[in-house]
Amino acid sequence: MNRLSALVTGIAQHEALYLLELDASGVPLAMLLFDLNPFFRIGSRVTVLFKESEVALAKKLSGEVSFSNRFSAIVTAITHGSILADVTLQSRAGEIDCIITMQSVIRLELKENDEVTVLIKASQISLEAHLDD
Amino acid sequence: MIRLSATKKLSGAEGPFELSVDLSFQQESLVTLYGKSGSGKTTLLRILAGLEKPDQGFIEVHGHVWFDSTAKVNLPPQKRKVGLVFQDYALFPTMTVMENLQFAQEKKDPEKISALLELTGLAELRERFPSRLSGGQQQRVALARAIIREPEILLLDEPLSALDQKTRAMLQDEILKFHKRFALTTILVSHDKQEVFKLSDSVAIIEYGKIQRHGTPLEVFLNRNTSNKFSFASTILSIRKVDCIYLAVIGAGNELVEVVLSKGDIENLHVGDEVLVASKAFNPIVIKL
Repeated sequence: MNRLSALVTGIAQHEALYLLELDASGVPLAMLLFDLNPFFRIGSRVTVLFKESEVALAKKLSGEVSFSNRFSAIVTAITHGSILADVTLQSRAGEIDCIITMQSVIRLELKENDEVTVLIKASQISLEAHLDD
Repeated sequence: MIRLSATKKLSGAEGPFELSVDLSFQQESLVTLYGKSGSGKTTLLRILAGLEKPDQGFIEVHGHVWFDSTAKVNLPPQKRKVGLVFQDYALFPTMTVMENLQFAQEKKDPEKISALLELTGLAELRERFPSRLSGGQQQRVALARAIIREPEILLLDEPLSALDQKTRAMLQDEILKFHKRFALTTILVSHDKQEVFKLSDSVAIIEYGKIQRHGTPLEVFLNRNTSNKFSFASTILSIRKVDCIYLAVIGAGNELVEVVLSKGDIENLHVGDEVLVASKAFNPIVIKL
């Protein structure tokens, strides 16, 4: 699981559904959740959680995409499997791992030091607040 | 609202210690007392039921004072509306299932007994004696017998710890069902984290007679709060590598589930670890059966 530290910067609400805007060391992120816990409010320091398998990568991306979370990163390592690959990335928000198919690694001609765009849907991000903070 | 404040000198296995507890919780909530044996959990239930007297203290249940050491108020057990269920069932062996319920009922009302027997799935066993019931069935009778008294507080002292895993999971569901259906206020003593997560609105951890923490199971056991919708506490049973990911088998009640872990995850997750498995409301796929 990927963990990034972030601050809550905005909260939009419709009934029980919330869209939270976050700042992870200068990288803007957005996530969806239901029934906002009182621990999450503007200014709260939170940990952003998302699974490696929920991260998509793009190279030389142009045009608009519907992914709410889109930021650039550098490939620092690739662990090749036969079906899947684990790609380690360094971004301004922190280190991220991403699990994609080997087919995609080959199609993107992905290698170390490549610059890529990280894409994550807002529905796939979870938050954690530490009570001692 | 239930307010309980009590101090009492106790003699423990490692010498005397003082039970000193201050606890309040909402009506119709299910609160768990969690802690090692000998920490004072059962004594606290007995104090609530009036079976033991605190050295000092105050007990107020839904606006009625049951005990006040300063004002010398001490309602006897039969005047306190509590239902008690223990680990060892404690049914009357010479009475049938129905007679056990009739004996416990204050205002005799056969219709209410019939309805409860139906609801608890005991109707067909009504003429049986306890010796001819399984452990799970006996505990269901004990639960029904506690509920028929229409208690203001239902006290459950490790009621399921003598039962096998499958029966335990089934009775956990029933406890939750009755707790909600009869709008009960329930205090459960348990040292099973899975049970605590499944049943409790809040949990108080007791160590050497003192409450160390009180909050939701997530706050108390994880000291953090997540935004996830579905979660349960469980144990990692195995981890195996598949290609460049890892598959962990996690016990979830009677079911086993497999979840994908990454190489980063397995650096601090090991077989035997207690974990929280959580998912967002967006993820599960729902298929009509």
